[in-house]
Amino acid sequence: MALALPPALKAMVDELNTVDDLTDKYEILIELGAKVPDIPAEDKVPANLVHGCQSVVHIAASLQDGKLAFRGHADAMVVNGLLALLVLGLSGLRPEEFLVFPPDFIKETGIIKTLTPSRVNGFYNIHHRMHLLAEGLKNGGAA
Amino acid sequence: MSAPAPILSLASLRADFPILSTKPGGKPLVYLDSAATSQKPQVVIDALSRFYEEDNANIHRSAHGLANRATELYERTRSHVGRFIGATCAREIVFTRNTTESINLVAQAWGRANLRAGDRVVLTEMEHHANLVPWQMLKEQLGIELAYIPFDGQGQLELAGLDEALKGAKLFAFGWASNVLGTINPARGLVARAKAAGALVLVDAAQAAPHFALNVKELGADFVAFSGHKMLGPTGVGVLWGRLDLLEAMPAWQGGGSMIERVSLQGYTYNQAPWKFEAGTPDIASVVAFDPALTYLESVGLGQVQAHEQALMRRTLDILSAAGAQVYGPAGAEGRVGLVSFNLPGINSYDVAQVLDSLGLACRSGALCTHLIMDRCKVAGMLRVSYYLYNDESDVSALEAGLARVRRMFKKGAA
Repeated sequence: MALALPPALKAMVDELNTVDDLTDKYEILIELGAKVPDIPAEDKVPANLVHGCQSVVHIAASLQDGKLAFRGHADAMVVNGLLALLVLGLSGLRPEEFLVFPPDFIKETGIIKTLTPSRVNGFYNIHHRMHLLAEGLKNGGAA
Repeated sequence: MSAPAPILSLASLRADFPILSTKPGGKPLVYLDSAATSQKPQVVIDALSRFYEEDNANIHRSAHGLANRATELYERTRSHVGRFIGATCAREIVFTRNTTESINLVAQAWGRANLRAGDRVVLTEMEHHANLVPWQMLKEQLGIELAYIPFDGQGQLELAGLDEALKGAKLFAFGWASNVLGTINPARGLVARAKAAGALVLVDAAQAAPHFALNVKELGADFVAFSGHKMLGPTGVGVLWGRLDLLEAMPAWQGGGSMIERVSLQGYTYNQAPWKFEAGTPDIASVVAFDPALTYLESVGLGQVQAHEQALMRRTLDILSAAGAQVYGPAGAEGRVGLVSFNLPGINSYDVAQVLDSLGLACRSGALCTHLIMDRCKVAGMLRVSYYLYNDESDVSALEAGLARVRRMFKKGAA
C-alpha cells in the first residue's frame, strides 16, 4: 500500500517523478533546494549541526499551534533539495504524526538510487536529527 | 640503447580497456579519476586470471614446481620494476600494498632506528596525507620535529626557506607531483639541495611514476615510493625503492614468515633485503599482473603519455577558464601532470561531482586527502579531473558539456 504523503511533500515527489533521467531529477532537486530559506543566524550554531554529512547542515525546529516548524539549510544544493523534502515537506505535521512517518519515503522519489552512499547516510542522519527534535517537542522540551 | 619505438597508437588503445565501453549508470563512462586509480588493460586482467588458473602457489617456501613457477613470476616483476625505474639491482625493490605503506615502512623501519627526539624531518604543505601522517605519528612516538615548506598561489613550492629548513635535517620527504595542484616539483634540484645539507631524501612518486619517466639513479634520492594501481597495474601492489645499503641496514618493520632467515627459541635473524620487508604472503597475483602493465606502458612510451596528457590538459584549462572556474595550481599545462583541481564559483564541489556523475562522468571531489592544501586555499573541497593515456578529446568534450549543464542547472536553481 502506498504511503500517504503530506500534500506539500506529495507535490515535490510528484514533480520529481515527472522525469526519468537522473540529471533531470537533480535539476528538479536543485530547484527545490533553492526554495529552502536560509536559517536565522541564531540557529546556525554547532548544537544544530548534523554530524555525518559531507556538507555543512544545520537543523532546528519549534512548535507553532502544536505543529512542527522545521528550519534547515546546507551548503550544498543537492542536500538543500533533500532538505526541501524533509523541512518543507514535513513541517506542519504534529510531532506524533511526524514520529510515525517513515523516512523511507525517499525511496518513492527514485532519487535515492542516484545518491552516493555518503549522501544517503546524510539524508538519514538529517531525518534522525529531526526525529530527536520532534520527540523533544512532543515531550514538552525546548528544541 | 635507444628507447623502443612506440608500438601502440593512442587512438586505438581505448579498446584495450574493457571498462571504458561500459555504461555504469546507463550512460557511457567518462573516466576522469585516474589520479585515484587507473583503469586496467585486458592484458593485465588476463594475467591476473591466468595466474590463478595456471600458476597459483605460495612463493619462496615450497620445493614443488608450481611454487617455483609462482616465485619466478613474482621475482620477474621485481626485476622489471627495477629496470623500469633504473635501479641498480632488483634487491632495491620492496613490494608493499601501496605508496602509503611504502612511506609508513620508511617512517617505522628507518625512522625509528635513525631518528631521535629533536631530529628534524622536512615536508611540504602540498603533501598527500600519506606523506604527512606517518611523520606526524613519528613525531608523537619519538618527539621528532617537522618543518613544512609552503607553496604559493601558482602551486609552486616557496623555496626561499628550504636551505635553512634543511640545515641539520635528517630527512626531506616530498611529493614529486601533487595529487591536487598537479604541480611537477623540481625533484632533482630539491634532492641536490637536501643532499648538500646532508639529509636523506624520500620522494613520493605516486603521481609521477604513472606519467613520466622516472630514473632513480638520475634522481639521486634515497627512497622512492609509488603505487602500481595508478599505472595500469592491479590494486594491492606498492613499490618502495631504496638504496640497498640503507635497506640492508634498516631493521624489518613487520615480523612473520618470509622475512626471517632463522627462528629459534632465543630469537630470529633477518632475511636479506628486500624480502625482510615482505613478511607473510604478499599479493602474489597482483604483483605478477603488474609485469604486463609495465610492458604496456613501455610499449606506449611515457614520453608519448605525457605529451598526450598535456594536450588534453591545455584544452581543459581553456574550458575551465571560459567557465569562470577557480583553478588551483600552475596556470599552464606544461608544469603539470594530467590533472587539475578547481571550483565553480558559488557551487559546492560535491554538487558538481554528483551532477557530473549522473551524466556518466567520474570525477573526484572533496578534500582529496590533502587538508593542508584545502586550508591554504581556504576551501572545504575541490573537484578534480585527472587524465591518463586512454582519455581522449571526447572525454574533454564530455567535461565541457557536463560543466555547461551544471552551470545552467545552478543558475536556474539560484534564480
